[in-house]
Amino acid sequence: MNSDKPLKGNLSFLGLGELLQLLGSGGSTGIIKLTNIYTDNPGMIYLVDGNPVNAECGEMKGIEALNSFFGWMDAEFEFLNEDVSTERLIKKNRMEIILDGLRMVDDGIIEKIGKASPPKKSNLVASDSSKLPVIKGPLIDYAYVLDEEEFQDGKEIVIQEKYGNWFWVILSGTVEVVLFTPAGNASIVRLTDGAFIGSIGSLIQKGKVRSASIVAVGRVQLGILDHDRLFRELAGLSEKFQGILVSFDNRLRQITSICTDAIFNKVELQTGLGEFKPFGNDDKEDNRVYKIINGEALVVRNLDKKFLRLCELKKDDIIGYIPFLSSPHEPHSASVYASDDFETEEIDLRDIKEEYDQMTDTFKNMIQHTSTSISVTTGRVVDLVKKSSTPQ
Amino acid sequence: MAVINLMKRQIECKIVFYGPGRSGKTTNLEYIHKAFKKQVAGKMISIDTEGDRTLFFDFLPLGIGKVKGCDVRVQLYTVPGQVKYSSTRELVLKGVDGVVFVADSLKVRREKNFISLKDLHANLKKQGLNILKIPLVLQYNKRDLQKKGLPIMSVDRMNKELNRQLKAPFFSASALTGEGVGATLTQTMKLTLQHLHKEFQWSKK
Repeated sequence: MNSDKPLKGNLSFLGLGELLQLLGSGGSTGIIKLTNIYTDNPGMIYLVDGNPVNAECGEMKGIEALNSFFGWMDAEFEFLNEDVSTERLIKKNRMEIILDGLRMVDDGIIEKIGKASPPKKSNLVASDSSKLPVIKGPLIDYAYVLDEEEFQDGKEIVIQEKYGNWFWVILSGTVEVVLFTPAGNASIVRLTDGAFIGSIGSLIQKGKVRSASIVAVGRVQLGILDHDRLFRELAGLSEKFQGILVSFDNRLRQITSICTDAIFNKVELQTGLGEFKPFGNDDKEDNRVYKIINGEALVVRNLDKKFLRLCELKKDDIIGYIPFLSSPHEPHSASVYASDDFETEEIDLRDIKEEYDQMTDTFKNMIQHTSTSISVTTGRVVDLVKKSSTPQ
Repeated sequence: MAVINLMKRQIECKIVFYGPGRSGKTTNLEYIHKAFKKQVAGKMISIDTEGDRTLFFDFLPLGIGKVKGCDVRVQLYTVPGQVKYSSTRELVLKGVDGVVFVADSLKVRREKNFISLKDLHANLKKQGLNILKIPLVLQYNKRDLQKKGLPIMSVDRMNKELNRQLKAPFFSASALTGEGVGATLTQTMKLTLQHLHKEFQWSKK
């Protein structure tokens, strides 16, 4: 690097506020040159002893020019370490310039020029000594918590095959999702702080029995969620969106049942899928989503050139990838195979996204939780099947 | 993450007062600025943001001595409570070393506290920071309003609802009168410096 240009980079990585703080705390004197492909003119900021004294951009000068640079999201910058002999047009304190500049960006007074970076996905999965996957939730929103309940170790919070549509969020402690079968008890996953108990599907399809039992592991504090408020929010969603949620719930029930079979070594890989043919293309970037209107589909995972059936989908079920709902299977970790008479209609994701954006955080978190549960349970099925098919 | 300024032989760390709009963040900082005048370096910067103000000033804590031969300079900030000030919040939270969450004791502000705490969690996460690991102190502010007959929540209840998972040290306060403000700041600085000691693996003495 040229010693006259001790620092260069992009404002998308190091924002102007941070850059000015960095050069300011070092007491640097020189010129910051900004190049922006989205503007006609480059920008210059003159620093003396770490403080901005002037700035230029085309006809603009002084603080007006400097303020406009706070909206340059993707500009390249270069700091030239040299003597500065310019008129001192800026007299404001450095931190005042930075904080006020950013405020004006947020107030919409300064226009943002450039593209923003995408958000990162959060990790909601951990593990504990039981070797079962442990699903955590995000920070709890107490506004939805009506009351608290405590359960002692071993107590069944939800009983399999019983009716019920209470919802809880785990305030502290751990619970285990268990399926009681004639072959024995199958522990599927564990849930801990912030995770939800109860499925959104049961809000829509009343009269459904609980598909698994939930048992306290140690002492557990639960928050009872405001059922009426959740129901009102759900009722306000379009039929399409409700359909997606029911389909998610259906997948979770099926994959939980397959996980139980896998625990008792009752899952076999298939060499072929009969009449079922691959649906759609293999493009992992294909974000189209479909509703099944006729026929059947299988969601499968390829393992050693064989097929692991994850779930069977029928009329009204949804297939495809919905990025903002972190939909768990296809196309990244499973494929879809369809029957001969298979027919679908495409769902416009823009409408769905608009509805999603309006949702409360608790509702979003519940959907996220269902999605994480499907992913985690699928992962467990794959691990169990791989283990049982590997010769000891 | 604290910055070590080798030229000035100074360790600069950042403590941010976070909380819903009008919970008393700026009142806290104004009180500190006034009551600990001798420890304040430079003027207080105040930016008018909708609903509240964003404040900033440098603070030189006394009685800490030098750490690794460097003086400690603490930058104290408040963040604007309004959701739309995301750029300001991002800059203020960048490299934050310690957080004071100023919660409003007024019953009607219960939900606002939850939303703001969740927002803090999300914003820290964006910076790769964990709310459960960062030095954090909770302050239940506006306790004085009870005397005026306004309905406020008990400290016990606030602690149960806001602090159950966080398990952070907490203080009752009335920033207007200054009660609890010094204790909150001292505890936050103590935790922050302990954290920095651990992070940089400095020796304790």
